[in-house]
Amino acid sequence: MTTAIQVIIDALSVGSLYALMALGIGLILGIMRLINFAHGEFVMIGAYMLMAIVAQYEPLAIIVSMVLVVVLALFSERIAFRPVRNASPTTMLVTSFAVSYFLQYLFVMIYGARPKGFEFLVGLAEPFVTGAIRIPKLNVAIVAVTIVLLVGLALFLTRSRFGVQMRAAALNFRMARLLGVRADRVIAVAFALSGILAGVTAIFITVQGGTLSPGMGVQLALIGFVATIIGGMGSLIGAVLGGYFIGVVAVLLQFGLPLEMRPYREAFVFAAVILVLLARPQGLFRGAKARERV
Amino acid sequence: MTRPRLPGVEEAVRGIWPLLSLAVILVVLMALCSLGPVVLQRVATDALIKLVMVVGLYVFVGNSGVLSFGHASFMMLGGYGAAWLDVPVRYKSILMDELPAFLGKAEFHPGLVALAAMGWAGAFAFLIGIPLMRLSGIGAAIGTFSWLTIVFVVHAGWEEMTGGTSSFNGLPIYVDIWVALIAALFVMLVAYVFQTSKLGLAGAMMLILIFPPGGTHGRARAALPRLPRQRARRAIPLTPGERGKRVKRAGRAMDAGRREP
Repeated sequence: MTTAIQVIIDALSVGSLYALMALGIGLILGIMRLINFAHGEFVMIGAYMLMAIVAQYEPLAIIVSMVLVVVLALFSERIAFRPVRNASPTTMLVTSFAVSYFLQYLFVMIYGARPKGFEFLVGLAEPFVTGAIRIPKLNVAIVAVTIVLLVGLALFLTRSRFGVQMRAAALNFRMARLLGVRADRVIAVAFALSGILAGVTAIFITVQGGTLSPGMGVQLALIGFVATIIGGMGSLIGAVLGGYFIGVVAVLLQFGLPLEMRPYREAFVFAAVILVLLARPQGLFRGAKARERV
Repeated sequence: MTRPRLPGVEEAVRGIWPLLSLAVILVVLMALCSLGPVVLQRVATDALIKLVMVVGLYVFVGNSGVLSFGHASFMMLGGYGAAWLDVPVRYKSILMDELPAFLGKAEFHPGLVALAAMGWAGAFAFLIGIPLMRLSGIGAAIGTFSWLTIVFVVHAGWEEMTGGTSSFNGLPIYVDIWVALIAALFVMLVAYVFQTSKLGLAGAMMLILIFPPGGTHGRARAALPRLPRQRARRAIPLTPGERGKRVKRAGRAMDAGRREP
């Protein structure tokens, strides 16, 4: 029973991280049809900024790092993605790869390629202890913050002016522009939101992992991308569910596989991804755009 | 009345010209490189190996339009497959002593092993292609990426067979610039034949089905029931000379008993 609760909390926290990544990629995918592989680098840079700024006052480091990541996201949108906005999807994909590699190697130049250890918010590593159950505070924090962010994002998308404009742009960009939605502003807001998500993810990844390396964002971006696709392209709920699906499957396999098979856990996770794609090629949730309207 | 047909040779050369021109350029370039220092030869060999990789990837991606992230997995399968059969037994018995007996005692000529490795990788590619090609577009790309991860994790984890993440040493070094050149020319020939053959044209048609020129809206429109179309009438040319020629032609056809075109 206790292990069940711990496994569930673990699964939810890993799923939340992947869901945040998937959401950050899915927001931009829905509006611009651009797969932003540089999102992993936003997370990586957020983590490095935490390390660079931390000094003694940790909340300041959090705030400054998130501001810097949002600025970076807006900057990359303005410089790298706006010129190719109307180009073919392959061009946009290659552009996002280029931005990703550029940022990675920029930080290799600045900080070196070796992983650096970094202790942040050490208090979160301690567990809540109730009887026999030990739940790390970090996992609870991740799940709680993710829920708050998801609710906040949902309210923003449904209630605020910019949110409604973003949903309209994701549905039919050209029509939205004809109706008066400012394309530049909507895309900038999308990138800013994705920057906020990247900043939060960076904090949790740093606290959880304890090491920073310039390549740490690549694996996360790939999982976020896979989660977005199996959740349903263009659907934000699908992105979140895809992230949770991969996280839960990974943790359940880690817990349930026999010991000899544990090193092959990722293979089973991706076999599950293939099966999901074969069963529902459009993803678990079809976005509004994918529904055929005849 | 048609123009006389071109002689067969000229047509054949014209057909194969894209491949022939590239091959000639490649051979001349590599011949020049082989005269240079060893470093240049290594760089040229590396470039040829990368050419093999890219043209192999093109055979799938270029003809179907699906981005295949899984290409490296076939390289991994081929490499390890060749290593199991290539590495001299005296190395295998020390470094990789946990291989099953039929592999531990196997040592064959590198040329034969290359063919066997091609078959090994190709068999896996064919088998995984059957389910993956039910997907389309980005789903297929994700499927190939998942396949890559599966192959990588299995190879990295199965330490008795592959040495895990540490290297599998002892393979015979036989790929110099000329072997790589032959491989590059072979791959280019295969790619060209595939592209211009019926299989390749079928692939091109799949591409048009998956990414129709009118967008997916075009596909929805095409699914609507079609009214029977009238045969379009050609516009009558207006110049008197043209009209006169047509009248004369129609007259001659009627004289010969055929219907007016």
